[in-house]
Amino acid sequence: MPASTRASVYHEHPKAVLLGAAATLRILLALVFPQLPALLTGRVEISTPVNSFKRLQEGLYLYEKGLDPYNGGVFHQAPLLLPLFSLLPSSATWLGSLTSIILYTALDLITANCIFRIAQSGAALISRTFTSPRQDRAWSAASITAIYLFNPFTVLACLGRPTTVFTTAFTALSLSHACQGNTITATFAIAIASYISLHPLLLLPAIGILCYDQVCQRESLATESSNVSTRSSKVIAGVKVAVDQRTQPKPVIFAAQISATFALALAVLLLLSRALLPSWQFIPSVYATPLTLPDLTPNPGVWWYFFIEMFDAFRSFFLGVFWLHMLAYSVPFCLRLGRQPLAAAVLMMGVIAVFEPYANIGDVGFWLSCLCLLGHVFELSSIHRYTFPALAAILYGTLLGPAFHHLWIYAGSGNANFFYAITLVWSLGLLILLTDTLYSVLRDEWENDRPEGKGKEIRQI
Amino acid sequence: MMMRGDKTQADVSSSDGQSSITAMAPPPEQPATSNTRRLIILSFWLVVACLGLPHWIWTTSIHRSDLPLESMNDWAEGKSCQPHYPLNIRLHSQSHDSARDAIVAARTETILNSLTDFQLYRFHVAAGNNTVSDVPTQDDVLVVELKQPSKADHVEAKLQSWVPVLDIVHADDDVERLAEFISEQVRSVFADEAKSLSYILGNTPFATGKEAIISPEDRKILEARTTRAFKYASALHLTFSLFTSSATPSAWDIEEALEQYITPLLGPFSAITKFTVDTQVQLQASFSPSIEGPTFDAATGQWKLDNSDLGGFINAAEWPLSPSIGSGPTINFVLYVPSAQQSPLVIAETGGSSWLIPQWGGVQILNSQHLSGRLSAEDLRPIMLTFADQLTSLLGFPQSPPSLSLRISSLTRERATSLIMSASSTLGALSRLTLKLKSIAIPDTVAKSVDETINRLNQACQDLNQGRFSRALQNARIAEDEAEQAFFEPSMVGQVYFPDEHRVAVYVPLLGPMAVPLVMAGAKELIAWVKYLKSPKTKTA
Repeated sequence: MPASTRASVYHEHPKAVLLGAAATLRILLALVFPQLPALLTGRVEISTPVNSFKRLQEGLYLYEKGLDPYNGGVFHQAPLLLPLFSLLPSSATWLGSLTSIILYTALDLITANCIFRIAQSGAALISRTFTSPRQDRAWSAASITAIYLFNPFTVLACLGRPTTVFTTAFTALSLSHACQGNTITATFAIAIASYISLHPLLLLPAIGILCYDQVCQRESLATESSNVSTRSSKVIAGVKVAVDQRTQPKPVIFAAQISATFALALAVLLLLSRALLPSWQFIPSVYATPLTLPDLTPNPGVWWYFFIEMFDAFRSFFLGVFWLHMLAYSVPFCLRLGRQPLAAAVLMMGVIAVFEPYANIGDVGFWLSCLCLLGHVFELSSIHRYTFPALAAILYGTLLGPAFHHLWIYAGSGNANFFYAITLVWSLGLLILLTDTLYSVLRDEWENDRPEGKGKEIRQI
Repeated sequence: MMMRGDKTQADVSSSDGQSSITAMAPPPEQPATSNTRRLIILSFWLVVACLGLPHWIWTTSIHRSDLPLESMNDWAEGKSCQPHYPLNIRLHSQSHDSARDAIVAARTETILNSLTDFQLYRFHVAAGNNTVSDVPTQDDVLVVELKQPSKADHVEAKLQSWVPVLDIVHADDDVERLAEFISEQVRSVFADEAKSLSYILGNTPFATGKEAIISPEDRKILEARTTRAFKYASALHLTFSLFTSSATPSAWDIEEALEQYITPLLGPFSAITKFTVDTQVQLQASFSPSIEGPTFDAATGQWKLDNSDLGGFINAAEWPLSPSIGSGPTINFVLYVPSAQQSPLVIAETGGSSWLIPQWGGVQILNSQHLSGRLSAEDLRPIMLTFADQLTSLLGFPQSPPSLSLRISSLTRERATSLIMSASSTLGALSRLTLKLKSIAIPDTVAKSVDETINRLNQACQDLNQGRFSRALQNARIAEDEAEQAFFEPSMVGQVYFPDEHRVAVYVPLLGPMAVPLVMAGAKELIAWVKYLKSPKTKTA
């Protein structure tokens, strides 16, 4: 096939080509290197106590024997994963291993599809009250999907099979439905994600605002359609059309609806779990584990070392401080970025990926890919801010992290401080990216308000 | 020229919780923007005030259970218990004259109670019915068996080894002289114990002034006894080890030997302490490298060990003598067989071949010219007898009286007394600790243990004063365990070394950087608000 034909196939069906290539890559890797999935499953950077595939097998074994899977104190994952995985052949066999890889590949493809749809919806560029002056610079949906699918972190996490991949898939699903204005589906998806991992709960305000924004846009479109005013013309003109406030849903009622849907969905999931299991023991085991951090196995996050060193008397206080620190960003992001709710959601995902108690690179991979949804503002951060040092620090952390972990645990020629230092560098790199993007998003918004300031430098007065 | 970027600067930093005041006049801020900024600062402060503050109070407040400090101090100062020891003695006689027996008993009691160095005791001597069997009842500490002599003027007093019975052969018709003789014999039985009890009680808060005066020589003996003996434990482990420097002997009939010579000793004592026993054989055992080794003395043809080498004789690095098996401490008994080239091996100063290591165990060297591959029970007889003797010393047995049963009952009283005192002083220490460290947490378990300790101490003291000595020991033992548990509560031990200044070091590094932007932003907004409040007033005025 000549190159031009191949290129044209890609241009005609970019999503199908990307998904097909990504699935082939994952399955080929598993087939060519049969030891790779088992090796990655054991890596601390991928598997943490709350998402490890190995621990899932332990829970599955107890579940299939008719025992309470949470009795052993090893398994801390959501109960509804158990019936799903008990349908698959045992992962100890070659076939079972391959089946699980196929399942996780399918999850990755679902996530990729969601990211594609989010990018296509343009929710990052246009909201009810805001239109980015850089909307012509937005990255194409296919590129963002490709970045997600061929991101080494995503591929490694897919082969390592942590159950947080389910959380990312449902978070992406929720975001994509929120961008379509499907409030109920979006809320239900984020409820499932919270049910699996607890921390997506912090995304609920941002997703609620995103839903509200999209619903309002749709309502106003419907009223305007009689005036032959299309969405695109409004966007291009950048003119604010007077919208009849009475036709729009009231924010308070909308928030109450979303909260009620979320609570209901969560209650149904928990009751369903209870029906599967002999006791309520799963609630403390699944949800108190990230809250109280009983297992201090090292991970790429910042919690484990801190709580190894902390005095026992202050342990519960600082657990509270760490959680409140994460929680404290959720509402301010929504307040400040209320006009760009998708940016608020993406930045909150970044806060979670860096500060969550059992951090892993799967979440970081997903976040870095989602960050590309805000690709149109990258020129601001790459010119004025520290993108290069941040990316260098992340690369440095990626390469030295496993090396220092090996030195500490296996070679014995390093100690815990080696690995902890590298996780700090890693977190610092991610945080610089996060703050730079926040800067760019705000600057973009400012330039929208004051077009005359575009391209000028900041000066402190 | 336009002041560009000023607003962006303010916005970016406001989302971090900071805001900057601009000196030169920037383009006016839109009211919506500043409202958003205030809302953001407020939302951070709401999290701090509504969630952080209650959480801080809840997780770092110190729970101090109420301790009965007054009664703890009373125990520590010895106000709550004045131990004395009622001893019941029964007088059996073969005569049928019970009235005369009663007089002898009453007279003996008077004499015994008037003895100056026996003020801690209160004797009750009762004349028993001679139809009662020789087995003493539980209450009787001693049974005096009066026997008619086979020939006139034959006077004899003898203690039975296994039961607390004193056989007295005396034919005196005079009641007074008979009573004096009996009380003299009883006195000699309890003399050592009285000294020992006085030694334990003397110079402590529990001293009542009734203690006997102890001569310096006696004090030395008693001190040596306490240094040697193991601290009281409710379970003890005995390890018997055979170390051979060559390949023979490689086996010993230890089970049979233990059965014959050690078990009879442990039997009666197991009422106080539980014993477990194990044995081991080690061949090719070499000397400890830390000692110089024996030197050959050509004059006597013996290998001699210096006195200074005895302490280091045990090769702790290579001989598998574990410090503790199970819950209680381990008493080690080591039998060492030197090689034929280094035989006979003796201690240089005394020429003996066995010694005792205080609070550790006993060591013996077996020098024998004709050793087979297996040591028979008969070969082990003298060795086991020495070990048995060492065991009694290590357990803290008094050296007299010769009756084992009486020695055990003496030891029961001594141990009960010392446990009561030790538990009381632990209570005192705990009370001082809680008063001194105001910020130390006192968990409920500690309060519970203290209550239990005081309760058990009361019972033990009562039992002691009413003559139920083994129950007193049991209660005292539980009191001691509970008191130790309360004092060494793990959550308290850590805080003893945690002064208040350390709190600063805990809070500042993390909370400081977080607090600075929050406080600064909050303060700026407050100042702006106050100014805004004042300005319309000035305008209206």
